[in-house]
Amino acid sequence: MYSPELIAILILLLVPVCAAILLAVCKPDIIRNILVGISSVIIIGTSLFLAWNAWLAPISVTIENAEWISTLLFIVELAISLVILGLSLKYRKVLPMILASVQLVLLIILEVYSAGRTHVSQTFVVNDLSLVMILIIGIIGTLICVYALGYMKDYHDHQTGVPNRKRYFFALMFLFLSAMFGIVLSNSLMWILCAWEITTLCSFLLIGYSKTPEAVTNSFRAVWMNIIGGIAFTLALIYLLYIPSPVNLLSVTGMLSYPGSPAGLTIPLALIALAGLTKAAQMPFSTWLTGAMVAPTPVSALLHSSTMVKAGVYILVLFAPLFAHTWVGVVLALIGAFTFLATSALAISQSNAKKVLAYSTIANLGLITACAGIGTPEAVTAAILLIIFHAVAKALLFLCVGAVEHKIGSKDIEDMDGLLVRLPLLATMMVIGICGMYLAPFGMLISKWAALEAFLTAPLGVVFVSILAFGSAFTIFFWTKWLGKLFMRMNKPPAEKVTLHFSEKLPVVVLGVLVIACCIGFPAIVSGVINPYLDTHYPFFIPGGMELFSFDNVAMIGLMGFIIVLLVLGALFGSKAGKTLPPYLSGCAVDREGRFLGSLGVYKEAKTSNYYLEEYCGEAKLLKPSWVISIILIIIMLGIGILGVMI
Amino acid sequence: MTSASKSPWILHYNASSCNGCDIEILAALTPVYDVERFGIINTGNPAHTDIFLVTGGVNEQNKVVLKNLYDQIPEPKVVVAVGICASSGGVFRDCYNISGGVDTIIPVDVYVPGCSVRPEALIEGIVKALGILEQKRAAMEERK
Amino acid sequence: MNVLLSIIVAIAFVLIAPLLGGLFMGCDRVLTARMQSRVGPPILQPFYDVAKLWHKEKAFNNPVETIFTTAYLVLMVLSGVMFTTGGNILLMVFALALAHTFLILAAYAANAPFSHIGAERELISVMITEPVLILIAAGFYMVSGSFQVIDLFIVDGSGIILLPGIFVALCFVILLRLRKSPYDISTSEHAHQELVKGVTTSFSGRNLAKVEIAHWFELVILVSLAILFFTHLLVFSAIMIIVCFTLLLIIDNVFPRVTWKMTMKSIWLITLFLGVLNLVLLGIFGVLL
Ligand code: SF4
Repeated sequence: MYSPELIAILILLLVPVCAAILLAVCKPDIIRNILVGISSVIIIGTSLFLAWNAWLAPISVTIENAEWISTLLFIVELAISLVILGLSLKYRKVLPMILASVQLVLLIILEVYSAGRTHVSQTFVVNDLSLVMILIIGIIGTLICVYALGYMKDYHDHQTGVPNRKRYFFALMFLFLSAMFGIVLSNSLMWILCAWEITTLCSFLLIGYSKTPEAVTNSFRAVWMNIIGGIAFTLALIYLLYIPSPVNLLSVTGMLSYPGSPAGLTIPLALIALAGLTKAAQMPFSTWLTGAMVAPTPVSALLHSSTMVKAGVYILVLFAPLFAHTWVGVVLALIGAFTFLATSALAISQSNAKKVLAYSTIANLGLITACAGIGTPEAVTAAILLIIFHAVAKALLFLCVGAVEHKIGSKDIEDMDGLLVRLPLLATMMVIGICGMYLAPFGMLISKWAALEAFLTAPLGVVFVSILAFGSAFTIFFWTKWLGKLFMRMNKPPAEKVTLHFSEKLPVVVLGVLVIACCIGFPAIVSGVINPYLDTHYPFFIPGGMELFSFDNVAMIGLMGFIIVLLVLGALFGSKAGKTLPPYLSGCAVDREGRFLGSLGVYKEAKTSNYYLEEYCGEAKLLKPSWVISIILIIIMLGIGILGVMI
Repeated sequence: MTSASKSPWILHYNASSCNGCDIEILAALTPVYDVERFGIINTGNPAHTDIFLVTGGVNEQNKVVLKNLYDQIPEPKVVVAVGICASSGGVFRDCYNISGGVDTIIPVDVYVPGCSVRPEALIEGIVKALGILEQKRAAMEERK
Repeated sequence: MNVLLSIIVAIAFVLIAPLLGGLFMGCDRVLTARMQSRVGPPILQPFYDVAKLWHKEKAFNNPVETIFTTAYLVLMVLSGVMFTTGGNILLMVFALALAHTFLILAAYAANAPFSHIGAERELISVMITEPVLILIAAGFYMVSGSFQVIDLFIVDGSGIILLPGIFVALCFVILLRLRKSPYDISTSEHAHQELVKGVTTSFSGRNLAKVEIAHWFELVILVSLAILFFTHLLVFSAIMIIVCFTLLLIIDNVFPRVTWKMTMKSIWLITLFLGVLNLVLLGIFGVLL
């Protein structure tokens, strides 16, 4: 009676929940390993199946009599607000308390006014965009959960002060996966709001996992910033109820097919944009994401690189056709572009690897936001490519940093010199990830090109292009100096035998392969997935209009890739004949490690560290002005939203 | 002449010179003598060096440094002892901390005497060194 | 352009570019010497240097240097080939950045303090040039509606008239990429360098020769980028280029003590005020033309 697609959707939504419940109950490690393994296989398999079917033809499924589900979800939302309220009371945090109460009131108002109008004709819609997200969540998300098995074991061996709450941890991780599937699968905005709130709660609880004072403070910061987004989202929905429309505006498809002039939708659009900005940690909300780095690394990887923050930009990209050619969209794009510039510069000043990754994540999300705000087909192409490449490469990098941290006892980039010799596998994967983030001919660079091409035809295009140009320069700086560190001190002997858990090795290698596969397969991704999506959403879209995808250029990119492969082979198998010189230390060096004889007869190592340009790019210097600028931009965006209706 | 002698790059090291000879070496770079006419460059970096100019006698402190720098110069290379101190220890020969001329530590190919050495003598010494550089290079090619 | 012609052009580029680049460096050295009232080396000196380096013993701090410097050279050539065969200018900019990344990695791998700082500062100079190069690509796109170099040749009117601000920024980038100024990044043979030999400190023999040849290629690429601004005025462009470079050399020799911070600030200010303003005006008035 149920179609296979519906069953697949239900599996994706419910299997993680069941797994979460079971994981919360079962204590022994071995059962947990089996449980995580089995549910991961199911989730990966199902998402592949669903994605394949959605690729063949977009899926839309209707469930009749879904009112009781809406009621259930409303109760869940209330419960979430109450939990946050309760915890803020317990820890005496005023701001989260106030915001959570506002949210609670708004939710009740929304529920009262929307009574009887929540029915949405299509319950679940899977198009080519949600297909991409499903694959990201289904494959990368579960790989991260698998990785967490080995990681958490080491984590508790290292952090003896932290109480072992692994059951709670894994339950939240899986609950989170389910919520993410909820966001990308549901068509009803009410349901999306509920899943949205669940992700907020999960990230809040996971950031505070270690219960150290720092973790608690940061988790509350994350929650109040995210509740602002939640409030904006709720307000948008309440407002949508008041717009007269033949279609039900409380659904994604409804909004996209709104027959009236888009000027009527600017207020809810601006509010939804605000919600997206908070979730995607754009300026001025960036501090919640950088603060969230106190959490165990799988949390950072899952929440903050590949999935949760992607929910924010997913919503923005989803509504990109509405943002196109509106001033709300342009200002939104400006906020994104500004965030890209500011956080790329901030990343230069960081030596903590996770912080660098966090800032670079925010920067890339900023670029995606900029593309979504511009909203032309070219921009959306760039945005989707960015989402894909960023998710894969960044997840890989987070997992590598996490594993390296446990092996060398530090996540400081300064301590990673010679990693290629000390931890060859992890370091190789890290090199792949870093190259994937910024170097030609790898993925992110291709997407940046697409973004550049899109910006050139956009309103205020020159501003965006200039921001991209300078931002990319910063990007090159901080990635290259990290990459360089990995190649330093390679004449050291390999470290003593370190064992990597199988559950850590597997996801890292699979992701490494995925990064390369995505780079090779990008023309296929564009023609197979992105173009059909654009075709349905933009009536005047001509596929192949972008120069980037012309045969000559793709061939050239391929040639560059081929040369890189040859060089890597040369490095591995080429002749190494020749004399090895000691490092030049004005003749004072006494050995290969570059030590010299100090004045008191002590041997000292000559050490140099990277540049951090604190005086230009330090947090103390840049954060406050960026907050001011971005807050002004947000106010302008909301103002334009309101004016858009009045004009 | 091959390219080896058309582009001799120099490393100048002051072992324990009184600075007299060093000033003369730098004088050779000035417009009056302009050794860049012969492609000579003062690199200050052993990895790029062909001709190693050492001034002053070697003392206990900088023996290691001298040896190190010499070892870091890739073949073919020529050592020129500049000034009488570098050639034999000169007036400092009998000091408690001086081990003698440069040749007590590394093999020297050309000795340029003088206290201090005159730029003309220095240039002639370098021209001699170029001949030796040629021979060494030819020998190196043959060994291959 | 058909494939055969492209291949011929590519081969011609690979053969001629190093000759031009080397000669240019030779001229630079002679001119600088004359400005200091010296005679200076023969004009072919850069070629003698490279030939000598090629025959030196193979020595390195880290065997990886060999492959990394090769990568630098190969990618530099590739980027030049892309340019001269009328290919994509943006791709060329990316290949250029990739080439430099390899050079920087080679210096990192050497693991000597001086070459590390040299690498770090070379990285800064790459960071300084990147926005200018991307803006050039954007500017050409706005003029010709495409990133293909070949389309720029076909389009009416010359880049210099529409993109004067960008051209000035490019001139300063070339000044920077000559690697003589700023003195704390410089790798030049002249005495005005602070860090032994900058990024090249630990390369010797063939590795250094490759870096040197790649540098010639880079200069030729950048200069032809400048020529691209004068597509319909080739004779005029030749004169302009000579005048510009004499001017640049004079500027360079008059300010031998410019630091990288001053360079970064001044080039980025020029880029922002002249380059971006140029594009903004072009965006506003381009429609009218
Ligand atoms: S030779 Fe004379 S001038 Fe030269 S270092 Fe010795 S004492 Fe000084």
